[in-house]
Amino acid sequence: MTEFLNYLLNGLSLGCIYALIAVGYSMVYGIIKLINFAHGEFYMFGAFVGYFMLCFAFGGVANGPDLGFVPLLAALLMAGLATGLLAVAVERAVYRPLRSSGRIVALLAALGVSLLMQNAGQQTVGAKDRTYPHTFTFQRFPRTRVEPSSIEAGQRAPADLSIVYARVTEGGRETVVENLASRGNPVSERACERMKELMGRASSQGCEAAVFSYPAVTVSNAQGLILVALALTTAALYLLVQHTRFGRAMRAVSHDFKAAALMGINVNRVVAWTFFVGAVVAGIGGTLAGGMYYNEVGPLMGLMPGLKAFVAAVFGGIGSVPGALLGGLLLGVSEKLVEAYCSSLYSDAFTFAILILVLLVLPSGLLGLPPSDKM
Amino acid sequence: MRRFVSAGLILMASAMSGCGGGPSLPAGKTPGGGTTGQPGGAREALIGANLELSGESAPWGQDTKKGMELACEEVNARPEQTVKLRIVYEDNKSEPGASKNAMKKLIAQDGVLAVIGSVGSNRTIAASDVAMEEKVPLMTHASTNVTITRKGEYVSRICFTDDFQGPVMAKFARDSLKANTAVIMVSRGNAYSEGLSASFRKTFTAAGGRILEELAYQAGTKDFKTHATTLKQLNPDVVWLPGYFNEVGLIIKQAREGGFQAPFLGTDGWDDPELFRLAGPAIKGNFVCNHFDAGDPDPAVQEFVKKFEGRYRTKPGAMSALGYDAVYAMADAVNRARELKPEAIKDAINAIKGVKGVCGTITMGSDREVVKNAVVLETGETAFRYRETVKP
Repeated sequence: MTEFLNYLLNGLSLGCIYALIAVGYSMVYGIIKLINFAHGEFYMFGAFVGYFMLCFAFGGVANGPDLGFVPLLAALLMAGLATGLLAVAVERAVYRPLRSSGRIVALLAALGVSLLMQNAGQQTVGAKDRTYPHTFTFQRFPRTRVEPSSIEAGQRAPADLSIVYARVTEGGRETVVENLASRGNPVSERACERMKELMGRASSQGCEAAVFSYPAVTVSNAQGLILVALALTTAALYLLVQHTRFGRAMRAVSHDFKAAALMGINVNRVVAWTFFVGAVVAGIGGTLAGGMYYNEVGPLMGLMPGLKAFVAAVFGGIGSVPGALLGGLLLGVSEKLVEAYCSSLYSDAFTFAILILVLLVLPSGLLGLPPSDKM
Repeated sequence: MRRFVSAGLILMASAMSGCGGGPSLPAGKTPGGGTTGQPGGAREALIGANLELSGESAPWGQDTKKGMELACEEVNARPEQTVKLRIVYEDNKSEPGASKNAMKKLIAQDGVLAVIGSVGSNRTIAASDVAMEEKVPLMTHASTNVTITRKGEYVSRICFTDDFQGPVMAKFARDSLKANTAVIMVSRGNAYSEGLSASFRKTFTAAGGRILEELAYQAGTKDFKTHATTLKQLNPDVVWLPGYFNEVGLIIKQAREGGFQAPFLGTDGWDDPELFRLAGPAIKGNFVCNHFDAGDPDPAVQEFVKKFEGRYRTKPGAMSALGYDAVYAMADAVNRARELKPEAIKDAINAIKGVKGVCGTITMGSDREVVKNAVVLETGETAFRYRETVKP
């Protein structure tokens, strides 16, 4: 049961990442009926903007001292902004001239943009994946502080035990987590000595160190951060679409492109802003997920998440923002459960089987509007 | 795929380190590509090096070349070296097709008597076809795929194979770590990883250990949280993880974050500095099998490390050490060859006996393979540390 809950929580955090990308897919589709296959590359682009921001503006290095949340926040804002601007430029240069040429042409152009960005990325930043600059150390919660003197070598650990300590390196302070024992296993002598050594060093140097025990089900601060980011994004998008003039214009354009134009809405501007907003979310997702959470960036990192997010968007009902969120979360959870209880090799096959099934049985997705609604 | 190739390359490069010296030809004669004699009557042999000097495996090919250059100078300075070596380096661009062409060019244009190379198994396999056709010996310093030397008598190897690393680490797990249970994590579809999983399983179970489960993953996966949770639930004494550093780094990081504590055991596919950046402090306390370690207290190794550092301002890796050894092996063969012709050198290579190298002693078996020790290294926070030497 506890394993199931852990699988579920991991699935939810993966689902949050899919949802962050799927939202942009859905918004753009909702407005101009374009499946923007380059959206996964916007996610990659955002991750790289965040990477360069952290490296050059804040001197971040892989495996270095904790940069902290302020640089991460700055990197997220910058990644969002730069990706949004890129999306506006792509829309203006590629999609707008092709808007009257039919949906197939636009779809092919989107595939072209996607491949162009992947290959341009490989040529400019190199094909090898890079490790992301270290911003903060992942720690598990909830946790309880344990008195170090109560832990003895050979004793069976009633729960996972780890020591969390700070150490000072050239560039600053770094938090390190070292596991001492897992639940039900004896505490080894090596671990016990290590704990005493670290506690001793901490008290002599005035650094903090503490031993913690964990329950069977935990979430990491990184997973929490992704969840918070998704919640904030969702709230912001909801306010934007439902309670602003721009949101009303968006809904109008989505409902009827031509009628909206006749009513005096500047359709081009609405489309450009929609691209911008969708890409901002993808760019933030790239820095947060690809970079901070998975610790690796590379020019092809957007390919698979982009395709999965597309499935999530279709699953939830393409064109619907709440649908994209629901689709992303469900997809992430089901993927992790298939991995856990079936085989990790089938999780991708499963994802795309869902796509085919949804297209056959429920073409408008879970929350998508039935076609008649748009009459 | 790329990972697989790079690991193969690492292996190959390490096997190849000898500098390119071949038997020298009598003065005035150039058959078989030997150059004319040197002043003073010393004979010289022209040896080819077919290496990954560009392309995705360039780091390993370039490391090999450094070791070869150093060894070449050393062997030529020895008084007993009656045949001096001269090495021609050819770039195979990290591609099998280009490796074939490089081999052909070395033989036809440069007229080399023997060739050392390559790093990656698929490049060596491509070059070995040419070696058999043209009857020019090819000695690989670092390619570990088991099929390579089965091509025929002109193809030999001076490093251990994939069939060796699995048993080494299985024995280490049983004897040194006292592990009773293990979980295998295999990169499904990767021949390197699958082969090593099978050989570990066989030795570990034969020694009385129990494999609790085999967990598979796909190359390119980033999210290993499910694997981490499952590992915790299975609670093995060790995890056998024959993979490449990019996934290995993420797997270990995410497993440690999930509270999993048992050590991971790996192979030479882990050998890349990026591993330490990817995994961060979590990398500490795991074990790998490798060809060579710069921290080995053996005086011969330490002297090599000192010379290498003096010249290249960096510590030698396994590829440089194997390239260095390959040149010593080749120099020995060339010196003993009855004449400076490829066929005679082939016979001399296949009879190499007791050549001391920094990666162990080289003695060719009847299958043109060597029997060598492996070193087990422990991962520290930023680098590998020598732990013990395992004899076959």
